[in-house]
Amino acid sequence: MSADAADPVVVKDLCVSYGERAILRGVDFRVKKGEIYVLMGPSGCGKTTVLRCLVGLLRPSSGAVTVLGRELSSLDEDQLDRFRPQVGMLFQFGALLNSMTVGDNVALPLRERTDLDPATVHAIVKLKLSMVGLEGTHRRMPAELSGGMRKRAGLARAMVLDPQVYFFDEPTSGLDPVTAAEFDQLVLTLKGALGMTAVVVTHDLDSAFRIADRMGVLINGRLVAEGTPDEIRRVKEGRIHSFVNRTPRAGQDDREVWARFFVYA
Amino acid sequence: MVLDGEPEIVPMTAETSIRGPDRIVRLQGDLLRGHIAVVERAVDEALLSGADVLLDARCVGRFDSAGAELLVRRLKAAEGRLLLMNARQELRAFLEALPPPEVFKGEMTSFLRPAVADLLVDTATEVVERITDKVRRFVVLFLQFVYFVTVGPFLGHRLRLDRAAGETIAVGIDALPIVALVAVLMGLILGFQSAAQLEKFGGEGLYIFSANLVGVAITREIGPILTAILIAGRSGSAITAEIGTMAVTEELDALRVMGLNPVSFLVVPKILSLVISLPCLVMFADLVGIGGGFITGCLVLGVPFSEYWAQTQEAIHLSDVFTGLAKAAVFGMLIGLTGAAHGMMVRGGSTDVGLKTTSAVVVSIALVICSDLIFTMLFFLGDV
Repeated sequence: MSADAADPVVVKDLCVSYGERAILRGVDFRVKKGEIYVLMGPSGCGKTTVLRCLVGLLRPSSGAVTVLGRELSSLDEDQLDRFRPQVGMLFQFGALLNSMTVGDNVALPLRERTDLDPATVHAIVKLKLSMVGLEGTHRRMPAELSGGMRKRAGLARAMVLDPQVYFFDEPTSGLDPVTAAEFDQLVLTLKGALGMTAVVVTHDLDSAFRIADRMGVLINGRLVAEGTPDEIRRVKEGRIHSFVNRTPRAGQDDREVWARFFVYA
Repeated sequence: MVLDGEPEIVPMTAETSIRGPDRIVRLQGDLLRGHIAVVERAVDEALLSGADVLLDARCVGRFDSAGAELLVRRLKAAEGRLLLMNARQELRAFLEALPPPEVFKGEMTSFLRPAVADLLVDTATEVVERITDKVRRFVVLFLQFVYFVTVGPFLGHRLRLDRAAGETIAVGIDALPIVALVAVLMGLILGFQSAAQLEKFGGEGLYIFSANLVGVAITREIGPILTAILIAGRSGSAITAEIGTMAVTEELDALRVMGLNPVSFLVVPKILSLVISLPCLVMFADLVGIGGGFITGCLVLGVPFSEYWAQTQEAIHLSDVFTGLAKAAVFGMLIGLTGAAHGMMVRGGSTDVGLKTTSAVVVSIALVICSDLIFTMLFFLGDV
């Protein structure tokens, strides 16, 4: 892994703890330009926490997160607000504002962060919605959309300011396999079209192996493996192997203990 | 495990016999929720004798989780002096799926019974922490609000008057019917109450002065307080529920990631709308309330309309109305701040939205009444 200063995402020794509970215990990784980096791991391993640090929603206890050359913990709230339009984030359930139509949701960053005239805003919104396959839905309310459509609308909103880096939180969780595969295809298409750099957090293995250029496995707040999908598949180490191959964690065989309490007479 | 339409439940019996140095407790019947006491008693007695005990489960019919839990708990508590004998394959398979007795050794008692004293101390510190946290958040939000309406607009934080206007309509116009109803009823009630007192002092001739009593009471106190309480229940709770739900669905985070400050984007317009609409509603409530007093005074007590009208005009000073309206603006801000602060405190899920909404209404009503006392004292001392 070459240490390129121009890498858009650099995470160094990232630690986060809530009180005495350590969530992340020193996570290091870098993402190169135009690369899709998938961070995967079992539930509760700290994946989403990493993502929240990457967009500055959470301040790390120690360590450094540098996105597009800016060290996030050195920025104050105002500077963060000005920095954030350069990144796009897709939330797990889309996080569309329920009080606005889909079109207004997608238009929101344009209306708030730019001084484009309404006609241009409308044109860009239609363009982005058609890129994610949601033509003609701009007048509908988020509540009228299915889960998959909401995620795609969330993606359109994340894309609307043409950010340089994307962050995806569980983009395929809760979707049926076909919709999930379609979503992955959409991500790959957009990668081809926009040269998108993205950090994707997921526990959906199929999706991870489909879209990743490189991937990291996060277990118990530590990055225990990193590499291309093929390299990860070949890892033999117990926990990673069992996660990648979906075997249950080996536990103590309780039956032996139980046997001590049974008498056959 | 026991469903409707299944065969009848066989009651549990436990017989204890002696075999060599051991006691054998033979269970017969279904090991179900309702039958546990029988087993407990038999096992206790057998263990008290000092002998090792074998629990013969050959004739146990059906069992449920409560029954299985009883076996696990007793096996563990007896520390090897109690063993299970002849358990059917079904029962053994069920037990083997549970954590074995050794695994949670020593955890049960502390889990089941934390000492009452500890519990009280914990709760007390928790309550103190929660209150200081709330006060802190409330003050911070107030300062942010002041910043965003005074300095913010000059530093690139747009003051969203369009959103405030929309909210004002939702808060103000939709509340008119309920405010009107409550105000007219209060006017009627005050008319009767004042007439009853006036009668004691000088008979029916004093009825005309109910115009003074109703007018001043409505404009100075009843109008602002009642409207504020109605709006706290109506709009304060709505603010908490809406912002709280947005916190749960990550909408607040989404706003932050788009570089939009949730306080400036969401909270400021809502508070502004309350600060504007509450005095308007109070003015309306004053008029309707005095109208209620009219109805009692003229139609029921028989004071001529023109006299009542003239008396009302003489009784109410502009300062009465303005102190009421000034209070209303402050009440509006308190309700808005409390609602928004509670909404942004929501953590976790829908349960917390409900809890915080309830809390927001209670706290804002209390704050409204406390601040009303402060105002009244200041006005009294300042002779306003």
